[in-house]
Amino acid sequence: MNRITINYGTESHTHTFAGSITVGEVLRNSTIKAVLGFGDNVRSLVSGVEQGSDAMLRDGMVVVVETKANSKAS
Amino acid sequence: MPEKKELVMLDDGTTVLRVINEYPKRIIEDVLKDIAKSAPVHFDRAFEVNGCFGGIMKFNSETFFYLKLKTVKISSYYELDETKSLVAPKFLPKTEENDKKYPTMPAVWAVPQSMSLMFAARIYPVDGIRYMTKPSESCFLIAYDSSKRAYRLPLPNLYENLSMCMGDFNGVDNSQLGSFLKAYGQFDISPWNADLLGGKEDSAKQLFLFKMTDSDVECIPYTGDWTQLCNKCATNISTSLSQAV
Repeated sequence: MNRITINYGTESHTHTFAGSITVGEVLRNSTIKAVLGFGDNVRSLVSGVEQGSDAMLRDGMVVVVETKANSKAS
Repeated sequence: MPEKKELVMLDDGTTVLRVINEYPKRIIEDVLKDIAKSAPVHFDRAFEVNGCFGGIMKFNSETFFYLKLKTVKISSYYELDETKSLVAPKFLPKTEENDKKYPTMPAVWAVPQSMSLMFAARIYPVDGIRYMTKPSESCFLIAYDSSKRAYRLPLPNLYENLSMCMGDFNGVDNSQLGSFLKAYGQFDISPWNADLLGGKEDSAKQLFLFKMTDSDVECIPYTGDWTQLCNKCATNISTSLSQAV
């Protein structure tokens, strides 16, 4: 079991995953997105370092999710 | 300190001359300076502009000035609703055709009571004497709810990370406050166009609604749940500035 804490602004949510989990899976998880209210245009940081979607998360890790800037075309 | 020279024979048998310069380093003072540089600092109600209080916050070795807004001037085209008594902003690019079709005015929108709206600017040192606010990625407009959650208003010229497209302006000044006030002045007088609105027209029409009177335009205060008309956002900057709410 992996317990991962996800922070989005002033809100926090701890989610338990049965097996190994990547950053991308956390960001795509519809339950976490609904609880914290973030969309698709986000990035994730662990200990202040931006993570790629394939980065593996370990039990007890804290992931900070932030809104990214969009382009003028959007 | 004098230079030290030494001849060193390397593993491969070659000989090199090594020149060593040593400088005394006050470790404790330097470490304390580094800590002080990165320590968060917050002065709330440090200044006042048009009846709104502003403050200064330092975090991640960067300095931010902010102003808690009670009103926002929305200079844009406006459109009458079906009843011909209410008007809402029509965010469009400035063209001659639009000029003929829609009236323009700087209507003043009142921030709802349940919202804390903050205009913030990151202030950079320029040359050791002056400070500046850069036109891009330096100014932010952040709406907070009572739980300090950050939202993006359904306005154009506002990126999803809450930074503002400010247009060209000179934000250089001899003081940090002067630089901030130049940025706020630009925000206050600039017209809003259609850039970055991203399909938020309907939300904008609901939130920014005005009543035509004989002599003026009055804001109709929004009493519903304004968070439903905005996008929830979170960045390092919006989270740090939420302490000032």
